Amino acid sequence: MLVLQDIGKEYGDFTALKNINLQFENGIYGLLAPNGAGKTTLIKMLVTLIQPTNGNILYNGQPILSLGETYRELIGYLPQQFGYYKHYSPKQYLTYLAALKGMDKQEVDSRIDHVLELVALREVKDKKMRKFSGGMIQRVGIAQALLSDPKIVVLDEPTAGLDPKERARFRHLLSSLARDRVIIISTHIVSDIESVANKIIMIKNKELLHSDSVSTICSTLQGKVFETVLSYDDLAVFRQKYLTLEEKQENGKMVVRFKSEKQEDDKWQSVIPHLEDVFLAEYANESTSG
Amino acid sequence: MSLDKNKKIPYPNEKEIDTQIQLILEQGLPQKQSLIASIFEMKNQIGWQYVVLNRGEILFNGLVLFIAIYYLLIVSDIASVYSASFYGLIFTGSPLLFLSLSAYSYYQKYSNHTFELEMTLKYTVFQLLAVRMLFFSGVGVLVNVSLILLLSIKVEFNVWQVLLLSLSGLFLFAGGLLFAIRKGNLFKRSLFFIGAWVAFNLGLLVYTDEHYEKFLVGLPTFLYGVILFASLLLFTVSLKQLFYRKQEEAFLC
Repeated sequence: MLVLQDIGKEYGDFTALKNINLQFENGIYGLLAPNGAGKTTLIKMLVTLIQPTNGNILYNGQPILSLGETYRELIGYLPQQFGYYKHYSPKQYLTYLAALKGMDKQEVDSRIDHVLELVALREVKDKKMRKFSGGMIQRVGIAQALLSDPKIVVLDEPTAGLDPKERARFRHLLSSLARDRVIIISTHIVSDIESVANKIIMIKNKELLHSDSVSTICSTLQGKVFETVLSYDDLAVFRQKYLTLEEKQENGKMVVRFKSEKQEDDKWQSVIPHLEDVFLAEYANESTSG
Repeated sequence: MSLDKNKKIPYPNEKEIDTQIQLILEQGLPQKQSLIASIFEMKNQIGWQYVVLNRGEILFNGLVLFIAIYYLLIVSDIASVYSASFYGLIFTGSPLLFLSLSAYSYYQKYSNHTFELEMTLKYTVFQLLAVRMLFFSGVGVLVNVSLILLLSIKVEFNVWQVLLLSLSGLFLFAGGLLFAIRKGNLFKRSLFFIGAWVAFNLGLLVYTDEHYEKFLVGLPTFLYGVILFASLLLFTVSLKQLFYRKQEEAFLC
């Protein structure tokens, strides 16, 4: 079990994270927040790339920093910017990483074939990676994160560059792997994790906002999300008054999904809130740049 | 609940007890291996092909070796007309091959953005760097000694003294670089040390007229031996510190 106790990170006067308390057991955890909210900082602390300024991260009761290589052997990590050597083939690169991961030489070849099969790259395992598309490189990144059959899989923006078919395959893959390991996925794309995550972790103003199931988080907006039909002319005024969550054209009118504290008009139709609604409502005033 | 008196309670035998005690001690009190043992264990696990040179490094350093030989020819030409710079140029240029091997290795990881991933693996980036720098220093010794022996055919000098001077230069640089990066920010400290080495030595060569050269020429061979021994000591101690450096501190200032 992985436990974060009162974790905080400061860079001089700048506070990146504060008072983060979390507990990870086997399953999928979606770390959901806009860019710049501190997701990557938290991820980097989990994989020992940076140390928290305050608090402790414990694995089975022991601080991960004192566990050193014993802890790192348990991790599979996909960084936000997955680096690779262009002149290597996926097999060569994975063999190199397997060596640095300290994997048993007898099982390396079969593991490489297995993980490349999982990401549908086995056919091109001997091709140079310089010819690969962004999506293929990302799949090599996912394969290397799973190479040593790690107990803790940490993926930072894993679906960047993947097409819809590859995203669906990725979600199926995660579901099948999550039974006996911790999988932590950092993303700002709600659909990547909404259907597969056991728990969603949301960070706001450097602090933990939610750490709960999708349904529990969505229930925070129960009775506050509505849909209505407006004319184009009314839309600008409506936007000033309410937070719109979705707008789509239909039969020359606008169908608007929005948030309101109470039903103010009989024409409004109350709808079931989705995780995307919570995300948009919580981070409405935050910049999504950087 | 009645206890079946005839039921035998399984109890480990002496051998099993000893094995379990040994296991508990190994897990609870891991013995720290010697540096040499750790390096060989790492080599057995990873294999030399990933610890030492890859194809790109061989090509790049072949080019550097070519430049080094060219540099030596310039030194020998200068030496034949203006002997004052000879010792200083040898001392300053001795770590050239070592530096290029180490720098290229850094650069590859840096430019391909593989550092972040490799820092989370079992064998640390520092262990890999330490072993590579040990190997590169060995290559540096072989190349420096060969080139100086070749040079001695063309230019007349005290071969022993120049060999010791060159190896002192190599190991002072290598030991200094290892010492600089044994803690703190890897990139900043490496760049600072390399810049300081070049600026300091070239500054002395250019601005002290012949005093620096006279100082280098005037040092007795014995003293060069002492300097070489001290720099080897610095190299070994710093190598060990880098090898056992905690992975988690690489980008800290």
